[in-house]
Order: sequence, then C-alpha cells, then structure tokens
Amino acid sequence: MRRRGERPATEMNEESFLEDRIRALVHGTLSEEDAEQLKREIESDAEASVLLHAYRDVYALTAAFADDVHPSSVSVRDVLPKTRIDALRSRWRSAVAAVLVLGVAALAAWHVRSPGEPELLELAAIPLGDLGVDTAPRTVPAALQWFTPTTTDGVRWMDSLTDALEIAAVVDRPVLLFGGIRGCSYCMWMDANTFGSDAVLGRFAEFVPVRLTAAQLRALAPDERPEMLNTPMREWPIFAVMDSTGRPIANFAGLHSAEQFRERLDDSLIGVENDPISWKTAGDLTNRFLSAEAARADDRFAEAWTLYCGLAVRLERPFAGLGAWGRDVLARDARRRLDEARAAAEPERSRELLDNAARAFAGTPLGDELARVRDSFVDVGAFPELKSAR
Amino acid sequence: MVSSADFTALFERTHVSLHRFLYRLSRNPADADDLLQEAFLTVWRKRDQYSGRGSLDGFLRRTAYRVYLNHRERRRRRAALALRAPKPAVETPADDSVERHDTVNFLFARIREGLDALPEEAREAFVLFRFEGLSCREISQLTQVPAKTVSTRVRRATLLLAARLRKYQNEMPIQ
Repeated sequence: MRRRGERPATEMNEESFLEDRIRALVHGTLSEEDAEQLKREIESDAEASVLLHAYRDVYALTAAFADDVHPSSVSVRDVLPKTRIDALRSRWRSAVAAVLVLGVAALAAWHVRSPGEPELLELAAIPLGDLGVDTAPRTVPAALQWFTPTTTDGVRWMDSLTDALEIAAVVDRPVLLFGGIRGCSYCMWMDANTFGSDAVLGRFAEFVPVRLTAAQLRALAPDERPEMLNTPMREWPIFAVMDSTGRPIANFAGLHSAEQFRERLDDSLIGVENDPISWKTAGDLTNRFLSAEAARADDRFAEAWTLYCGLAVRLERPFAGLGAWGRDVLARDARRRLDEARAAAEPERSRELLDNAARAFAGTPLGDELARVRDSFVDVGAFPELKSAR
Repeated sequence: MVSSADFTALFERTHVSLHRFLYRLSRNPADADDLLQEAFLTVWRKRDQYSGRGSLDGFLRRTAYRVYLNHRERRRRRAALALRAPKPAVETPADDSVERHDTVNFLFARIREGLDALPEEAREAFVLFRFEGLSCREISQLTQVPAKTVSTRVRRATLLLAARLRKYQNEMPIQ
C-alpha cells in the first residue's frame, strides 16, 4: 500500500527533478541502484546535500501532521439536491434564452422582409473589385503526407531529384544527393556502416535525401548535375548538398566513416539559413491541404473553406500561402456566380442562380453573403447596391 | 458524460481525499467544505464536457484546484477591501515549555505557522508535493506553472520550513 506523499521507485526517471528524487530517497522508495547514484551526485553537490538534509528534517517533523485529517462534514446528500436545483435553473435559463432568440429572429425576419428602398449591402468575404487574372494552381507533393528522411530501417532515399527538390522547397531543407555506380564497394560499405549510425541518422532529419544511379545522374541536364560530374575527377560515391532551387551548397566524394560523414553534413549546414518545418507537421498540413483540394473538387465548399482557413492562419509560410490561395479561389468562384446571377436576363433566373450559389457555399461566410444578396433581391425585386467591407 | 450513478460513486470514492487536498490549500476546514461542494457541483455542471479521455478523478482534481484559485482570488480582494480590519488573534502559547500531552498540538501549530509564513505560491507547491504526493511535473500540469518553477518553489519552501522548524525536533511525538 502506497502511503500518501510517497512515490514508487518505478515512477522515478531521468525526467524527475532533484526534489522528486530526494523525496523518493528519504521515503525509501528509490531503487537501490538509483539511490546509490543519487547519493554519489549529492556528495559532489553541496546544494543538493543541503536540500536532502532539509527535506529529511521536514519530512520527519511533518510525518504526523501529514496524517492529521479534518473530516469533511459534506455528504453526497448535500451536493445532489444542489445539482437538481442547478438543473432546474439551467432549464429556466434555456427557456428564457429560447424566447429571446425567437423574439430577435422574428424582428430580424420582419425587418428583412419589409419592402423598401434597395438595400446597401457590405460584403467582406466576396471580393467586389477587379478580379484580375487567376493565379496558377498551387499544390504540394503528396508524398509529404508520409515522408520522413529516416525510418526504423534506416535512411529513406528518394529516387527522383525533381520530387526531392519539390519537397525541399516546402520543408525548407537542403537536398542531399547520393550518387553511386553498380558494384560500388564503398557505397555498400557506407550503406552497412555509415548510414546505420545513430549519429548520422539523426542528421538526416535536416535534409531531403535522394539516391540516384550513374545512369540517372547522366540523364540530368549539365546544370542540374553535381559539379563533380562536370569535371574529370571521378570518385564514388559522390555527394552533393543543394538548396531547393538546385544551387550547390557542398560537394564531396569517396568513402566516409560515420564520424567523417556526420562532420561533412554539419559543415554543409553552416551558412544555411532556413526555418524548417518538422516532418510531422509538414505531413499533417499536406494532408489537410490535399483534403481541402479534394473537398473543393467535390463541391464540398464548407469543408474546403474550413480547411483552407485553418491553413491560412498557420505560421508555416508555405502552408499559410496555400490556405490563403485556396480561400481566394473559393471567394473568386462565389463572385463569378454572383456576377452570373446579376447578368441573367430574367429575374427568375437570377433568383435561381443566387439560390444555387447560396446553397453551394452554405456553411461559409461566402454562402451567408450570397444568401443576404438573394434575400434582398427577393424582397426588393432588384439587386442591392454592394459595397466592399474588406 | 458522467451519469448520476457515476457521480455518486465518484463522490463516495474521492470526497475524503479531495477535502484534505482543499483543506491543505485553503487552511480552513469550513472553506474546504464549501470548496468541496463547489468542486463537485462544477463537475456535475460540466459533466457533458468530460469526454472520457483522462481519468475522472483527474478531471475532478483539476476542477477542485480551479475552484480553490477562484476562492483565493476572492479572499485576496476581500483582504484588500478590509485593510483596516483587526487581525485575528494568533493562538500561540506563552512559551515553548508545554506539557508533553500537548506536544502534538504544539508541533502542529508550529507547522501551520511555518506553512502560513511561506510565500503563497511556494506554500501551495510544497503542500501538493509533500502532503498530496504529487511530483513536480504533476504539480506543473495541475497548476499550469512551468515544472522548473514548481521545482524551485518546492525547494525554497523546504529550505525555509526546515530552517524554521528544526528547533522543534525535540518536541516531535514518539512515532
């Protein structure tokens, strides 16, 4: 039975603070091994020693006090009636709120339906100015949803430089290109030894690794190839670190031990100013953007709008840009439908188009604004005057 | 979602330890009773918000702590409004040479004085650490204060309390 104020030794771990460990030592709940280690630490740390003695004294002095219990005079019978009164009050509050909401809704309906002058409507979500030219479609590599540079099996090399550069542009990391020829013994040695090292694997998170064969390297345009391939020097394997535009950052070649390779990677990162997104976040945000795109393609605009808006407020710039772009695409679509309704020759047709548009964008601010335009059009028999509230 | 039966079972299972928790923090049995009722009532009102993730006991404890924080804030405001009110008499014996049968009460009074003399945040951290058995990290999660700060407060309170109480070591009751 665990006493109050005591913690089992199994709960002591490296993350425990000195205070926690000293308490466990004084309470005798620290494992023998941990206790010996803590004692050694305390011997070399005067401050910890003072704390140990202080806690030991306080523990002894307050042992009886800790068990001094003031019985509660409250029983469940004191609480349950209050819960019933509370529930009753809650029902009354709900009833009063419902009456108020209905009253406000009736007033609003009367106001909206009363005929009069053409209304002046301010629209914030739908753009009213010149739409200009649509920006080019934007996307993000789908592989980012699951991609990480390492797995439990080791390095996850990509096999396309184009894909690697695309991913590098989103996650703001340099590309690490590995080029090898068939039967390259150094390559095989490095596969078995260098790339299996924890120290090296840890560094791979900072890069987008891609591995190409000699034939793939030869197929690259001269300005895309690692610089060493354009010189008479040949040593395999070759490594090239480049930014997401393909600009070279570092080149090196030959056999590298784990320690040498880690140093090479560290050196290549010197001077690289980037703001990388964690791989997990990049995967999650990519998934959201692609879901938004799928929802938009499927005319599920409310879902797409929510996803785009969520991305637009992110601090990760590429995804914030994608979110803002997606939101803009939807807003432009809503505006085009509004223009189409205004251009219709027959009022019935205008109303039908506005109805369809409001329904399509229902659940978004665009849908709300289209519905306001439709209601005004129905009430007055003419389009309201529109003003941008942006 | 917490059913009425769950709620009654929760009360029966936890009200003693929760009352002790609130008494240690509020230092007043009557306040602890009120806070206990308020904590359970709050849990009942928010029973729809309990999603089933995490323990119900943890949900109750967090609620109780927030109820206590509100109570502490109200008490501070009242104290600020009543600056001129006479201070309550402190029950202190004439000297330390008390009879042996009063030793426990004497020592408890000194411990209470020692705890009361601690800075408020350090006292709360120490109470949760020493008497509720929470780790610095658990206190951090409960109070939303960084764990390192909690650790510093616990250390400070331990050192202050030890310095104050050491002279009473001879008065300790025989265990």
